[in-house]
Amino acid sequence: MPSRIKKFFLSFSFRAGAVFFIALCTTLVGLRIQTYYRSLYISYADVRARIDAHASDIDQGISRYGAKYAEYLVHAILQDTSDKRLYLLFKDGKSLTGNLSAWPPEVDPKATWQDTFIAQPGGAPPLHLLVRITTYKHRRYVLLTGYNLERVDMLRNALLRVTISNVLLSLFMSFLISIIVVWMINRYLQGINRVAGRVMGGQLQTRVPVSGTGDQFDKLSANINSMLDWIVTLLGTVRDSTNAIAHDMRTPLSRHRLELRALADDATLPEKTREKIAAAMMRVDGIVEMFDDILSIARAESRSGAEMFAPFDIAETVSDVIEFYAALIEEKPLSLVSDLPAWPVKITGDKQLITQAIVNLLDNAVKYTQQKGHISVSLKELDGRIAITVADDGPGIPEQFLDKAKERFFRVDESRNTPGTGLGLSLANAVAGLHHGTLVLEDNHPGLRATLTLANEAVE
Amino acid sequence: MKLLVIEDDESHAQFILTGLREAGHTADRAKDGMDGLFLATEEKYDVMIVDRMVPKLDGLAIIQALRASGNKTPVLILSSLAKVEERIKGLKAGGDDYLTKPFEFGELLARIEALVRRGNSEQSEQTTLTLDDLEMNLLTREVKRAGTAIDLQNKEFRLLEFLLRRPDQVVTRTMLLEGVWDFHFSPNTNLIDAQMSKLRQKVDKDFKKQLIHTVRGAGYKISAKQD
Repeated sequence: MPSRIKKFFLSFSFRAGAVFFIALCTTLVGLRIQTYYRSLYISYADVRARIDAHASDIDQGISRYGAKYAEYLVHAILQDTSDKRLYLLFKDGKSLTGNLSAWPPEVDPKATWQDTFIAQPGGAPPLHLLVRITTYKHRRYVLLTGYNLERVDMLRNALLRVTISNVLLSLFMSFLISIIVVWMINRYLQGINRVAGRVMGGQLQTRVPVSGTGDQFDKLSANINSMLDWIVTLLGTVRDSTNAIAHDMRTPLSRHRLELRALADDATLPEKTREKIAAAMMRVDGIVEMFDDILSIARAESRSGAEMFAPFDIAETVSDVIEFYAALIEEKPLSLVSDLPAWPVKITGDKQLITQAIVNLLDNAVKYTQQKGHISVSLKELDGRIAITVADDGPGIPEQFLDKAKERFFRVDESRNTPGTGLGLSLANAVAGLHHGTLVLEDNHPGLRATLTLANEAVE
Repeated sequence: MKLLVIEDDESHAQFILTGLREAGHTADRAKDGMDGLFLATEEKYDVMIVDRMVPKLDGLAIIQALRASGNKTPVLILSSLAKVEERIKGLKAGGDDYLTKPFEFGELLARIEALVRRGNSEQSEQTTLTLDDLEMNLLTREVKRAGTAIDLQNKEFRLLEFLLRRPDQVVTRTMLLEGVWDFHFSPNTNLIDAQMSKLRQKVDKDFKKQLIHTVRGAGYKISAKQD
């Protein structure tokens, strides 16, 4: 089955529509069919009641005046030509009286009630009869009372026609209503979906329209909107507090660093002491750097950084970063192979964060790969996605830690003595997320292969 | 040079004032935004150093008020707000440069001097930059020293151009990162040293006279004068 058709059958629209259609159909069609049988049953019961009424007259006559009276009674009834009933009275297997010449072969003399067709002489259509057989005096007398069901049949036919057209109409209406209801729900869901997509894309001010009818959908919309308001408030709080933390932490750290600098430059202190002070100053820089990384990660993860999005040439950025590391790569020495397109590759994103992510990937490769090792950097463009791969043949990351390596402050035990904050990959991962992409870490057999994928789509 | 420092934090202010005086400049200090704005309008300064979060009047508001009244004194914003958005906000408000705390005094001094020079010599459309026997053609992208062509890679060219546009000025590593690479975060600054030593190999190695100088505790300087 083609995937599109399969997708349609699995879609909410189809399933909801089908359920709604079946429910509506069962109710409407069921109602029609019930009406049909009920009406038919009533007219049938009416016929039986009439036959019973006559039979009971005859019964009473026989019990009062003897079986012989039945013969007169039937005879008398037959004088009334308006009566369309058939009567036949038998005694010891012989016909006594009635408006039938002989016992019809279609009627079983032993059964009580029978719905049967009796052939007519002269090619006329067979008579549809409801027949009642009554016996008296130990089966010596047998009375056949038949009622023409012609009118019941007419009613049945009329009812059947009405019912069929009703059922067809019900099917059509159910189908139409199902489609309309599903369309309405879909339109509503799509509205919510669009808003959710925009919000995730960084347009935090987007809200679901509220129609003002106060129905369930409106309540849902209102709830989603208040949820979004709450998210915006929280993000604002986070932003305000990170700003406050930035200020409140940076100011004393800066003061601390200024004092250390003054001491490090103080010529009256012994050289050894000044060296230690300078080292302490570098550690302050390390703290500030770590702090900046945490704030960058927080900003990227909160998806509130989209206001910094602008178009730029990412191929140039990658090549700049490679050139930035070229001197160090030559010095170590390492060999680097790059596979970049010769033409500009435009992407809309946060240039500083993306650059920082690429720097972090290449920095790891340069830092952990041994002398004479190999690094390769490539940029590929595919289906509006840009994949930047940095691979090395260094020690890599053990298989079980590949996912963990993207977490904040995670460091493989062996690398704890290498300088670094343990935030590099975590920042690259957050940057990928901000640009609707991924960071994939793989074993390069040997070494590490890191692929940063970014969606190259302009944010609405 | 006469400077105005608008800074509420006592130790920062003292450190900056001492450093400026040691470097041979005179400086006034304002403890809050109101004083700062008053001094800035009353006196004539070469550069102003403005902290963003000062009492009474926000640093950016001071700058906007000055710019609105036609005051074009170069302003260096010194702030704890380090995010790129904040930097952009500061420059949009009329700041000429943005430095985040913590900072090296050498960095601050180099940036102040760069601001003053930029203010003095409005950069004309130059096609060649020269210093002593070093010559750079910006159109053909040819670099020659004493008539010999020097082959430079893209970023080496940009690095040398950045230095040549600021002769005899201290250029810090961060200024190079921002100006040449457009990196507004702090990657391994040792890499600048590696880049610079490569550039020196090409520019200075075969010549007796060294043009690119290391300035201890600050950065680099290109100069024909020998120390």
